[in-house]
Amino acid sequence: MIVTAEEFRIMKLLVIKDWQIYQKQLAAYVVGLIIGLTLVGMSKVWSFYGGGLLLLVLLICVGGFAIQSSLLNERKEQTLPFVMSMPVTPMMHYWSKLISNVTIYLAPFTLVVAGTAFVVLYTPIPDGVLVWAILIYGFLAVNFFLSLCTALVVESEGWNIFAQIGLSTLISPFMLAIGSIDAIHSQTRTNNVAWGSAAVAILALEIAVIVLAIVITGAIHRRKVSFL
Amino acid sequence: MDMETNSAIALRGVSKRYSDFSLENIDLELPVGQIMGLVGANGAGKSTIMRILIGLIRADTGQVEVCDHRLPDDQVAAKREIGYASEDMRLYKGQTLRWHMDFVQRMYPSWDALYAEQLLKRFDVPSAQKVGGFSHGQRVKALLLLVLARRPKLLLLDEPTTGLDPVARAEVLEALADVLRDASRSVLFSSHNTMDVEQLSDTITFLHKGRLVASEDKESFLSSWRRILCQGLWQPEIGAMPEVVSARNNGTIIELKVRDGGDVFLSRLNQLGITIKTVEPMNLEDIFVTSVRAGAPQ
Amino acid sequence: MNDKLFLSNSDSTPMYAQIVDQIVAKVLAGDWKPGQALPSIRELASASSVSVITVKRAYLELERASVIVTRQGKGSFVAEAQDLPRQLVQDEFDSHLIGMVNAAHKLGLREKDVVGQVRAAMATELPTPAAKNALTKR
Repeated sequence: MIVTAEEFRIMKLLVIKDWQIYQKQLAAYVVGLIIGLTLVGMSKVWSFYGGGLLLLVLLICVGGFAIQSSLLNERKEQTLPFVMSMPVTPMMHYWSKLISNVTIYLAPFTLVVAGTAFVVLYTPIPDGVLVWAILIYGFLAVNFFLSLCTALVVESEGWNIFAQIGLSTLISPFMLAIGSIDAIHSQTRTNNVAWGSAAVAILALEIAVIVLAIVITGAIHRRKVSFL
Repeated sequence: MDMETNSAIALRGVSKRYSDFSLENIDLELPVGQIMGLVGANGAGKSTIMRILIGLIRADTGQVEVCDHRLPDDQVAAKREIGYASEDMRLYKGQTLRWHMDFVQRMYPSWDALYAEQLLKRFDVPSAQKVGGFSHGQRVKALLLLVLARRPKLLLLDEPTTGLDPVARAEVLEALADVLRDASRSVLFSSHNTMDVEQLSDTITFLHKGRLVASEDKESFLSSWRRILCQGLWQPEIGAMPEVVSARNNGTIIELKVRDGGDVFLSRLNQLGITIKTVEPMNLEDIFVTSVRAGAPQ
Repeated sequence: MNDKLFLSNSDSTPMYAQIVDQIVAKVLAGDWKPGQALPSIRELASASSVSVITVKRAYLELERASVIVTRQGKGSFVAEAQDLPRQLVQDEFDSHLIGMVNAAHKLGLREKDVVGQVRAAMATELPTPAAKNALTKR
């Protein structure tokens, strides 16, 4: 895909618009995430689990919220015709929505991953926990991208909610599953950050699913010539 | 250039089929500098035509050209020239009108900030208030402001005056009249209020159930139709005359609605022993209803 | 705006005829002097919130009645003709005459009855409003 300077300028405006609309709510989420990280860093058992749970819940919510407000609400609140009547193609609209959602999600996501790394490495928490944590965060990212791609392709709100809830229910089975893989579980008690072949394979799979989802939705949008 | 047509809009053989509605074989042309009113009941296909023209939906068959740009291939270039506002379009509830104005201004280089401020005053809409709290009238005027201040070459306005109070309607119509000054700008607007259409349009297009009933310049529309009230013995020959579109009688009182019924027609009526009492012009609404009821002859 | 005409949707007179009437009135009253340029069709349409084609038709009618002249590429002007007011009144008289004849036909009046009534009406210096209405009604 060749993007002209003008098309790039328009797409940038659309992304900035989405950011401006959701920046207040996003700020509230970031405050919540910082509280979660602080709790984890207090390295007491109750605060570690409490804070960890808060981070998980908020990360799931912030993804759902980004999708809900920038894609589903745009349809429901009928602001979509306003945007679509601007000089954009369905493809430009697709890219700008993808970019704005990913950046809206990645801001708190990076904060959490970096914060977790900092907390794990600089507090008495065993450093090996980091690999385990990153795999879980990776799974959350997979959830987010699958939900996002569903919202980009499927118009029905019911199916979108179904996809989001369905994917969320997979989180605890996933945590249990990687906890039961000995190569990963045993690491969490040691103080060295070691990426075993199992961990690398899981992370690679997570990334592959994300890339595949984006490629498929992109291909679907490429064939679209009009919006409705 | 020879290749350039002088139409703001050119539809050729355009069809769009849905399960419960279809737009059939529409040929429509709007010359540059003209205002066209689309008249039709709800569900006649006015909005579908508008959406095809702005590229939101794609026609199943036929050719669509807007401001010399072919759709859908050239939709970005076309949309840069079009200002579109429709009844089902909403602004971002949590943002102010000023925020929307800034957004649209960055999007379109043609934005006229001075004119925007003028419109703000004329329409009397609060620019610093969140759009979510706007009344219906304020919302419609805000949408129109965002579109008009860009001074687009083509305005596509789907029901711009529907649901407005009389004062707001007058404000909107006056703002539309501004557009008339510039011979390079064109307007297509739809309404089921024929009064609004009648006042500003150069051309009127009647749509009914997805079909084009008639499309003509307004003055010839208004001058070719007459309602004739006459008296005499009813006879089937009267209804069979080609000029007669609708004929009703109650005893000896006969009401005829006729097209192109000149002096020759009137003298033929006289020959049938019919006395003509009044011949009066018809308004658009009456013309529309009569043509639709008559089974829509072209 | 100076060039705004006051047109009404609820008036049974067609829009273009309202424009013709008001411009004629302006010319007769001397608001617009012979030779003076008229506003352009678009300008007048925009100022009066009425369609371009309606103003175009009004200008054509005015041209036909020799109230205005249109010069190619220069626009329209109030006609220079000296007897313009007389011509306009003559036109008005003609249209009333046609109206009277039509009404006479409807009433089934014979020619000599009509002539008799006209003679009687002419004999009174100023027709009463009722008589005036009877004469002008179409």
